[in-house]
Amino acid sequence: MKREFNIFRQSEDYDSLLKRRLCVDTDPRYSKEIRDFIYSNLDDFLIVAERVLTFQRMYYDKYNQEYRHTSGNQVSAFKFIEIKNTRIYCQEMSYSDGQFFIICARLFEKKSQKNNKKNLPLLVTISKYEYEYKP
Amino acid sequence: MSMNTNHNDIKKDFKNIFNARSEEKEIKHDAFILMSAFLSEIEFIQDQRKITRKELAERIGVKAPYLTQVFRNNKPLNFYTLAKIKRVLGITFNVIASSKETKAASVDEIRALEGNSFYKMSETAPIEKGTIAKNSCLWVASKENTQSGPTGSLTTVGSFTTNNNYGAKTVSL
Repeated sequence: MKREFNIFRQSEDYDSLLKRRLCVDTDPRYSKEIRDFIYSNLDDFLIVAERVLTFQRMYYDKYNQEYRHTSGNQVSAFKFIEIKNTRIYCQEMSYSDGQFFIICARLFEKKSQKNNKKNLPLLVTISKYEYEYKP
Repeated sequence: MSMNTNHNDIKKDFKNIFNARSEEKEIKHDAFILMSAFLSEIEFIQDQRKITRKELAERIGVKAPYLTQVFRNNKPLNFYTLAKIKRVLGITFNVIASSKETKAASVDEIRALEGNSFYKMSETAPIEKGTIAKNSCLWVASKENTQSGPTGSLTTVGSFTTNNNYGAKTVSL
């Protein structure tokens, strides 16, 4: 079954000409904890969000690509290194009209520097998510 | 904020993330975004030239962890450090200011639009006014921003109307 997501911020909100959308997976099991984490670390998140939605080079220390599945699906992460090394893992998805979706899917406290058996299965799972976009 | 469990409330909570905060917080936020504009350009140059952060720190005489803190927006970038980076990398920064109502297309935005096809200026052709069709763009990239158009430099040519999928928008160039 295809998964659904909600758009909660987009490039145009900043008068940017880019077409990026920041979204959240509608699964309440995960969206609630992502929401709570964001509200607890709002100032940090808002800076990363604006950079990601308005800068051409969106990847940097605090938002970067983490894993690419053989299908081509890309998983990225918002990185909160100083906050228990927490990650918000997202699937990146392009749409035919040029829209680019960053879908926040799961929260994860990363214990090690590299991807390992603890978080790799999660990255693989997220990369396999099939999202449905209803224009 | 109430932490409701209802799906619609969660959706609303996510929208509310971007509600206005105190002026002090907004100013601090804007300051970090301004710094990020410089830092993003510096990282681009570093990537191009394969200069690591540690090397850059050594060249400007600061500790690498300090620079990392700056690049992570944990510490403010001061203009003295910026000037040192500018000097060791041999680069210049071109700053464009405009009012919000006639927001100039940023270099980032112009770069992002490159290659989407539609209208391409030759090296010598004058810059023209035009309407940009849906899902297309005006190609205006200029390495040195020295191309001249009917009214002068690239940044003062005039406005172009884009009809994209989120409505018409005028882009001042």
